[in-house]
Amino acid sequence: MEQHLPRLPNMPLPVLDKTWQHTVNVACNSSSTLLLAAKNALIGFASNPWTVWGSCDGTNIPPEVPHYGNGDGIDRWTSPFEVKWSSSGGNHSWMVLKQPGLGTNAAICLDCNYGSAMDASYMGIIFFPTGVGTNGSLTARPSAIDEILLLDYSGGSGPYEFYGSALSTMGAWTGRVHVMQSTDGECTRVVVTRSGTLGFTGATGCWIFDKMKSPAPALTQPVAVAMCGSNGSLEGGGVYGALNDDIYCWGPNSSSIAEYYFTTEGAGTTSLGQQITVADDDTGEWPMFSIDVASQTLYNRGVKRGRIYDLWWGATAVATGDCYPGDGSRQFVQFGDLIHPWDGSIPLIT
Amino acid sequence: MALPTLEKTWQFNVNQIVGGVYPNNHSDAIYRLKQSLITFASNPWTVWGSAYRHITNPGDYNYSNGPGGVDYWTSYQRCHWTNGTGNHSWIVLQQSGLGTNVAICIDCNYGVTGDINYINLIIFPTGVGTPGTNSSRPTATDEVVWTGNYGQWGGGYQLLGYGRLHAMQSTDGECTRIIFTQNNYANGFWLFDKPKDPISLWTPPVVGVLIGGGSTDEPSYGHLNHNSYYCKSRLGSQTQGFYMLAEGCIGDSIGEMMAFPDDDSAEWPFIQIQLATIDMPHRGTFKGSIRDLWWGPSVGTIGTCYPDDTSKQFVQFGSLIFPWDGSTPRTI
Repeated sequence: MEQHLPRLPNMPLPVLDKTWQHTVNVACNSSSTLLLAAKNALIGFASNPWTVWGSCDGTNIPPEVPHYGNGDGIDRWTSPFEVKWSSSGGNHSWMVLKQPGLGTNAAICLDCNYGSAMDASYMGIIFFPTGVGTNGSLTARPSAIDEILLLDYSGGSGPYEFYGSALSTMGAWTGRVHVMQSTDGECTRVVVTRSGTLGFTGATGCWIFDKMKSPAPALTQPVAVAMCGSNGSLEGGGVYGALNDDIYCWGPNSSSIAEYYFTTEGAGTTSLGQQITVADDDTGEWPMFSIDVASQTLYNRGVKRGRIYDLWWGATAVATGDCYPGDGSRQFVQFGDLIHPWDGSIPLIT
Repeated sequence: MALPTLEKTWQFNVNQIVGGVYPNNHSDAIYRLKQSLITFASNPWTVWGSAYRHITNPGDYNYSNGPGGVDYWTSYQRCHWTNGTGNHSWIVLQQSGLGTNVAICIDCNYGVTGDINYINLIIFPTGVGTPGTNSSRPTATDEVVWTGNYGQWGGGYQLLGYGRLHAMQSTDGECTRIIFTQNNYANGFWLFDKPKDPISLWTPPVVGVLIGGGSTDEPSYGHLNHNSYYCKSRLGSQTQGFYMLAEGCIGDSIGEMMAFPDDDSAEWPFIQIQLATIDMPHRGTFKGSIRDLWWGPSVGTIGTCYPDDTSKQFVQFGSLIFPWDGSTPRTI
């Protein structure tokens, strides 16, 4: 049940740095409909939307029709039927979307390649900081020598190495895609919420493509891109276990790929958001912690590589879909352990 | 990252040599600590009352309760410890910068430990309630106490026979910090602060820290960030312990995980300190914050100064970074 939670101790609500566009609560019930919904939301924003660089519909039938294109701007994902999976070397769908808010030719690639996993709950998601280098084909996605692999289609073993869809063995499910983008195109978040196994419902995917606030001066392209998700048995759409405790966020550095952590206030070996299990005893409010970015990657080591705009850590005791403040205005919503600006609508989970 | 801008103007009485009067080095340390607090030029601490017993003459003792009581601690020879009974030395010092009647009591009573590395330290948030005698310190029903295993104060100095005392206080009296160093370790850390932005029900907002030990750096993440035993106050109707928060990831504060300065700026981090508690009945974050004190890198060497020039505007003791007066910090 959605809750309206009182805001945090001792502080007014945060003032947003950005103006946000929301395409949220979009229904999905398969990997294809999930990706299609995300793509349509990304290219459908009124201000500075993502644009199609090229795409592939994963088939060669009929043979006289071109089924993929590099740099032609054609969106071939017109229905879930054009969002097809295969393993490496097989015909499969891919989509490259550009967002100049992240860099002149910056782009992402959604690659419906499930690799050795042979399950559409796996795919590749790749960030091209400076654009496509090598064109794609019907059987292989575009690539670039400086690409950042956010999600490895070969079938990761970690608990958060999913984009948000469900394993085929799970059976029928229902879910929602929530896409939020700043009007300047500098910050984009995709959250997947859905039903899961054993009655679970929650956030199963969180994609972040952000330019950082107050970046370290040496970062010529101060972008943080993150991907984490679960297979539907636990919260995975933006959680401490992935983004604070592990490396599920990266960014381009001039000579390498930086690995980033989303920092938070902590005591001992645990974040405070994981230790606070109830609202503040004195104020009745829940916390919102700003997110800075730290790195231990050589040539990028430092504790304040940047800050994430308009995103906060919350308490793990708060459920996905609960809103802040406690007046019904739904200005913020929590998905997983992250608190996002919201549009006032009732957040739907499944 | 620019150096932080200080919120306070600071007074310093640092690099003081203490000890050198074995076997009474501890008496000298506690005496000099008291002298440091009452001799700051602006808003010094003032003596409410005191008791003494001469360290070698048991028949020489007296006490005086305040307000306006006598400062009997006229030399280290009047700073004598006992084990919970018997005449001993105590002193109550008031600091109006912390609140109208806010006071601390330094009670030279090592209790069952029998070890002069231990004292009782008390904060009286609203002043003394019951006056003291030569054998028992003053008390109050709302007192906050450091005692027993948490009464280590850092000034024992029996190991090498001498050490250094560094006393720092803001000119408005709202923030006081004491560091004891010996043999290149920060053996003791005391703090009496009015926190910044305290929650409304915290009245008066006074937080204290006492931690001391032997041959390790006591103001550390392990003590003050991982535990809430050493940083305490009166909140509502009870004593409340606080964690001194630090920003972190992968199960560590960033000051603990960063073994190298920033690759681009070559700078080390200054990490702000918020106060939080996970104990009933005041669970919650951001109860207040500590002014002009920061977590630094745990790999930092004691006495390391910042910035990397000769100005010595800040110094690191243990894992904490303090404003500094530009002198060369002495740690042995």
